[in-house]
Amino acid sequence: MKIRFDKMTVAFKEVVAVNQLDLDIPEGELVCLLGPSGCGKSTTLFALAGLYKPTSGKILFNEQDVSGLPPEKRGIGLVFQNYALYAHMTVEQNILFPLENRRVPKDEARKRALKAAQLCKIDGLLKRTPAQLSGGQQQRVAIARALVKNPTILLLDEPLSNLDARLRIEMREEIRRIQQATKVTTIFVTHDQEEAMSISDRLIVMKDGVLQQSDSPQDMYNHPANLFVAKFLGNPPINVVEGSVKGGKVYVGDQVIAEKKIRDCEKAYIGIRPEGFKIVETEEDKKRAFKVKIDYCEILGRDTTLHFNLGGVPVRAIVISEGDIKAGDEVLIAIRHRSLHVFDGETEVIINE
Amino acid sequence: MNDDGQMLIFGAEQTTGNEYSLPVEEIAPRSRTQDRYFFRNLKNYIVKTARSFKYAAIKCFKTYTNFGAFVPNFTRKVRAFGRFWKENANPLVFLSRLGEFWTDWTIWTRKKHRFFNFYIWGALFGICCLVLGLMFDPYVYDTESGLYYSISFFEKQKIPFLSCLAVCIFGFIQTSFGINNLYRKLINISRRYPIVTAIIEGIIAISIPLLCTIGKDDFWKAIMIPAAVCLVIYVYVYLDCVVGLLSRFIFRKSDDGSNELAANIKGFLYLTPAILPMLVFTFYPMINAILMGFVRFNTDFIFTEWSFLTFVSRVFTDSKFRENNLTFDWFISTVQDPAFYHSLITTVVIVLITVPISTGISVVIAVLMNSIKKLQGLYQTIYFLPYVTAMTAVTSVWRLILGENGVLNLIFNSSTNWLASPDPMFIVGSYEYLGLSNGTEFFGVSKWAYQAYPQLIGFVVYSIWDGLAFKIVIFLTGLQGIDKQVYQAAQLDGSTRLRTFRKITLPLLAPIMLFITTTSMIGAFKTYTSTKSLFLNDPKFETIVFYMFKYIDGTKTAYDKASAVGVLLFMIIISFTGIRMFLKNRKKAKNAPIQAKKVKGKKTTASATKVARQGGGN
Repeated sequence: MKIRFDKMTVAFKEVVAVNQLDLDIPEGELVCLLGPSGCGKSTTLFALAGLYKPTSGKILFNEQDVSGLPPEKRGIGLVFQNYALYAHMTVEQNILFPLENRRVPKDEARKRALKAAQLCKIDGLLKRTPAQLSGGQQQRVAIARALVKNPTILLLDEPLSNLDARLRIEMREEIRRIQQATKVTTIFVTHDQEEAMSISDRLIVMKDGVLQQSDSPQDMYNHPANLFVAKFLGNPPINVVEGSVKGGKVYVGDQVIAEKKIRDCEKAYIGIRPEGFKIVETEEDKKRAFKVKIDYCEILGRDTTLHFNLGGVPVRAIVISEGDIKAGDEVLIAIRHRSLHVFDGETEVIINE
Repeated sequence: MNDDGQMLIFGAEQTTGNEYSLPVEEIAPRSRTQDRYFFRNLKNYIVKTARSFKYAAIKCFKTYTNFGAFVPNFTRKVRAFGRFWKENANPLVFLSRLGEFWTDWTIWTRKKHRFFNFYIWGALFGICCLVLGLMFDPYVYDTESGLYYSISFFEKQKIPFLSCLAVCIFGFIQTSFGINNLYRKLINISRRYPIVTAIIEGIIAISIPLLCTIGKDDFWKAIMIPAAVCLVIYVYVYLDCVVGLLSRFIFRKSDDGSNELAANIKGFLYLTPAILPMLVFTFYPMINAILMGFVRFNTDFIFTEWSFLTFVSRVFTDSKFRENNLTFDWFISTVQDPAFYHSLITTVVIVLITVPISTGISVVIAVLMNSIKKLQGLYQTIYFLPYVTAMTAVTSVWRLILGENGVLNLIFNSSTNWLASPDPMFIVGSYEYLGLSNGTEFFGVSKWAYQAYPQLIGFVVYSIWDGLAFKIVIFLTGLQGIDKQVYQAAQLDGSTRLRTFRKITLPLLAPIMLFITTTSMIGAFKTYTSTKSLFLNDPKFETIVFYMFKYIDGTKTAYDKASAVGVLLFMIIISFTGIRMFLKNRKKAKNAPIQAKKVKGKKTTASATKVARQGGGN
């Protein structure tokens, strides 16, 4: 089911939660709505489900306007953040409930419920009530209940925030597996960039109700559209230094740190990924290298994190552990071309040419 | 008070020194020249004080908007006070701190206006007198005429007057003569020794009205209020200090928890102020009532002689007493009395009709009310009216509606008296069928259903309406315990509103439903006031309680028989409740084959029991 948001705005009295969202989501993908708290991602999800009505704009499923359709007619399965299971029913009754409402005959309904439970690996828990299940099991029940009605779109609202760290990794693999098995367009909401990047086919980053960028994870990591997206993705976070661009050379203060063929800019934010630094070896690199004094370094086996100061800002660099580098050393460092991003000082948009 | 039994010293601003460095004024004796000057300047004084009063009034008005400028560090103190209050809400320290604020204010005013406080104190004492005088209504018993007569306004005011006067004079003295330091020292001392302070304050508070009422009969009334205040303070001090001290010195806490007995005793000590009144006012009368059902009062053992001790002692020592006065007669005669069966069936009919219908309607109303956003408060008020209004007043209005010439008959153009007392035996069948009596003779009512039908409706409608209020409130509470997202999930799963109500709302309300049905049933068994006030002089609609009261009205004092009936009522209620509980447990056992963990609706039952303690009704 292709989804399209056509300039959708959702406002609650004076507060505008989602502002003029223009977005295309292709079919059969695992899409992640990513962003900090209060950026409108859950609101977008609920507007898609039909629980919130958009103040203006349209939502189109396969080029059909569904903005006026009530939620139960949209063919959507929604998994809430705190699961919203029916506490007085057993797991089996929970999963059967949507089918009962559609008047599906009992035998067929039972079979479908069993299939959904097997898909989510809870077929041994069918006779228990939600209070007798652990958090991960409750979530699987919620997913099974959403899947049993064969939805065209599966929506997950912060599925992993209620789980402990170990279970989170396991459950995100499960979500990926289920999505691959059923090929349902899945949209899930999260604020954790790591889990978003690990399982999504496509990332949609939002901030304050405005769409920032919509791309695949690796593309978004390598080519962020603005400073916010660059800072949001990546662990450890990108190093941001103030500088300027003149004549194809990137300056921090008076020092040239790299060459990039883009237009001049008096005030620019320069973003350098930690893995974008390398210690100079070859003669060619020495041309665009610059000297830095290491404040301290953390040696973590394979990698070494160097901490130094660049343009008054503490900067982290991750390099491969070769040679002995100690605190206080002066090292020649060069920046890889693809890890250097220059953002405009006023608009914070990336400068590409 | 923290666990070590020490008072937490309030705030970091605890200073021993004199913050405001006011010199203590020497009051030198006046000379004659000074007197002359005083009178000469009296006019100036008056003008000055009047002006200062005006200034002070304006300042008072302004301080509501800018309290911070009033006294240095005032806002900081207020905030620190707020913090302190949250940590350690001890009313004594609160009062002493209040006194400190007052001191600050008086110091400020004293700096500016010498006589300002005098007016404030005067106004205060006047207001106190007025308020207390209005609350107090002491009567004086005149031994000669044997009558109580109320005393004049000024006599009335004398008692609170003198109490307030003492307070005000003290305040006046401390402002005029600048003994603020002494006052501050007193506050510090009072904080260190709260028990002693409480006792001293209590003595002072009692002694002032005591002094005015020496030799008078209204002694007890005069000390009632200060005594009550002291009692509250004592109880609190007891809880805080005594138990804390005891725990500290006698029951030392150990970290490994080996002192469980000590912990339990501490808990019981805390409970004693609550358990003692309950023992006296609830359990003891209950035992008395049950025992009274087994006694026959006659010339040997008059009702006024009854007490638990006399009964028990005579039962075990006096064999003649055992022969004559200890008897099952009342129970036997009650069970054999056809009038008792009449009342029993009446009551059971009332219970079986009103409780289910009332519960059903109230659930629906509660669910509807929960979905209204605007004006929800208005609807809540309207539906809660039956609970807060007096039943006798409301029934008078219902009599107007349901009477022969009432509003209902006017609308439907009929003339049935919806309130002539019915004979609900129509539901069970005739007395003839039961073999108890023949229909024509019993209460003069001989015909069946179609005659009694409209009258029963009137009472049932009123009874249902009356029971709605309490149930709606409880159900609303329960509904608010259900997560809103469950409804959204149900909506997404495609269920209609009716289906959601049946399959989701009702089962989640089950614990509350159980509570409501049980309490309403118990309340409905005890119906008395509604029948009496609706049917007034037509007493054929008898309930069990009515049957019981027949024996203890003004002329008869057969408390023995009445107690027996009471015991029987108790047993009937218990049996019905027991049947209900049994059915509920059986249903639960059927539906839950796996009991890995016990499932409890914690939120709903907790809030329900909280409201239950405040009273339940039909």
